[in-house]
Amino acid sequence: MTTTLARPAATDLEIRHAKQPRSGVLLTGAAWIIAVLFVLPVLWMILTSFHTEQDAAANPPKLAAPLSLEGYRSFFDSGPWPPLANSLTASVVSTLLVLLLALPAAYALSIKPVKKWSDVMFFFLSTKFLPVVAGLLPVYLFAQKVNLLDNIWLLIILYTSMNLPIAVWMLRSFLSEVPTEMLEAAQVDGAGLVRTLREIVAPVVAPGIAAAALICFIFSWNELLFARVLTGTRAETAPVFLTGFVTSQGLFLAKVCAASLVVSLPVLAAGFAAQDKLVQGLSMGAVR
Amino acid sequence: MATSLDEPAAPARVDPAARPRRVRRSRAARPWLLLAGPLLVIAGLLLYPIVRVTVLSFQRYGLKEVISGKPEFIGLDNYREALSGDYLWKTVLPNTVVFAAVAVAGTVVLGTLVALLLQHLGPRLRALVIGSALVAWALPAVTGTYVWVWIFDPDSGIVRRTLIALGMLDPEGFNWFTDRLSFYAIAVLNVIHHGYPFIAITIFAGLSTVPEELHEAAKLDGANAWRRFWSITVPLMRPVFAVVTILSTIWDFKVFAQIYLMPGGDGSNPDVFNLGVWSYVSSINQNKYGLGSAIAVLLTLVLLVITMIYVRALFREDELQ
Repeated sequence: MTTTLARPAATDLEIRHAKQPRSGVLLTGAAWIIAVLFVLPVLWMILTSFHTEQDAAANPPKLAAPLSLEGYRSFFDSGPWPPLANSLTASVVSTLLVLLLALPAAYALSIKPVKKWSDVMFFFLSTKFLPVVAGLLPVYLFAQKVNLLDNIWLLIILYTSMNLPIAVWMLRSFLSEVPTEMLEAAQVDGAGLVRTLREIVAPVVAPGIAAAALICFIFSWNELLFARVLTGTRAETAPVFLTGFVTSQGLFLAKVCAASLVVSLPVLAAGFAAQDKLVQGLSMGAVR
Repeated sequence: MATSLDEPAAPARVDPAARPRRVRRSRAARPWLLLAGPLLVIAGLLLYPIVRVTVLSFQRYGLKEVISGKPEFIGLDNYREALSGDYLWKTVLPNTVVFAAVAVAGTVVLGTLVALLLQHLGPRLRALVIGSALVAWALPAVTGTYVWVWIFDPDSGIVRRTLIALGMLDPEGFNWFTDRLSFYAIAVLNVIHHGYPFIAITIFAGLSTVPEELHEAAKLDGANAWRRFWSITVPLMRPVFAVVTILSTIWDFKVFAQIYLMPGGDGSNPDVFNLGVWSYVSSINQNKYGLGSAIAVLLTLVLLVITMIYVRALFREDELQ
């Protein structure tokens, strides 16, 4: 971006910025359409969940029908708290375990990389080929043998190992942003490992840790296949509970929309609230 | 881990050669210690299933064998069962491959368009679109699939009601979920809708690495937006597009919940199975664990081959640079 070289470009840039208000209407329109298309299923769920069953099934759909909490009431009466708590436990604990394992590994792969670090990265990535369906039976048979079926800890272990590769991959991207000169300077000054980590590494990596944690949380919360096969009544997670609820109540749209919304709410909130971190994390994990 | 803390802070410069050799060797081993945890967890929890599922695929393994614990080795019989006949070749494989091809193309094209749009937006609108994209991405596949199923419900779905009201559909209606083509059309809609927000964000992040000057220079030379996209953005962004395509391909080949949760996908309509669902139904619904494992191994192999081709292409590119 040297000013002397890019002078014509700079003026052109100014022109483009000046023009923006006119073409802006079109862009604004397109942006709103895309945004609404993205969240359309969620909007539809919100709307339907607050209607009475009669209004939800009305033809044509009544957008302005009076609001009702009927759907939510009957969903919360059906005992969703244990599954929701199970999902929360599995997601939070597995996320913490992932971070605990992934951070040292990412450190070893970036700041002081081991010689074959790219091979190690490939090993981590290669685990993504394995379809969950292929792991399902072995895990099921193993869990049956060691009596871990319908146990939330089995899911915690599985989610940890499923999310570990992507977390290592992402955290490595963030850690390699830490300027090596600063690390060397700290070493020269005699700062210990703990101090170096706290004062130089942590500020750069904190957003990365937040992003990795969020992504692991979202993946664990949404997982269906393992949870469905490996849990019963005790360790059932929210998505499994939801599939059961929808199968039995499928005709009652307001009720099932309320249920779907409640089950999705934690991840939707996480996604919306932390968008900057997620964008950074997602692109770091995938691009580099 | 805090060994270096005990070192006196005094000497400003330490001659590396003066360090005892023992310290150096432990230095070289320490990173591997940090890596040991994840490597062990992943080796245990991901390599074990690969080995086990491969062994299972060579065995007759049903309910009887689960109880007795003594499976019989039957060689390639499970593979023979899966590969022979028309079912794999005319139904399951096209369902898997054509679906993935269409979904990947749709996801990447739409994602690119949204990414290009994002580039031209002001900060506030950009935040709006990205926020909505993340909501769509975080929405559980279970919930997303249900919404699409309800929208296309053959009795009371919005689409049916609208089409009848417009006179484009007979009042008897049409069950989109029993016909393979319309079933997969809905599945494609669902998967693209769920997948392209992430792709858009990734490509948008990649676009910011393309130097603005190149575009400006090309513009001065009279190149239009289309030309500039193909001769500047695409070549420079090739690695990003490659990663995005690989990831989408892996996901769309492995798609499970989005098919399984649609009417008929849970086992009642074999016309709509893909490899993943077929494997699941064979093992979990029908207790043919050996056959299910063989199908799962086939799916893994297909994925492996595709990814190898992609990675080859990608890394040849990198070495040239």
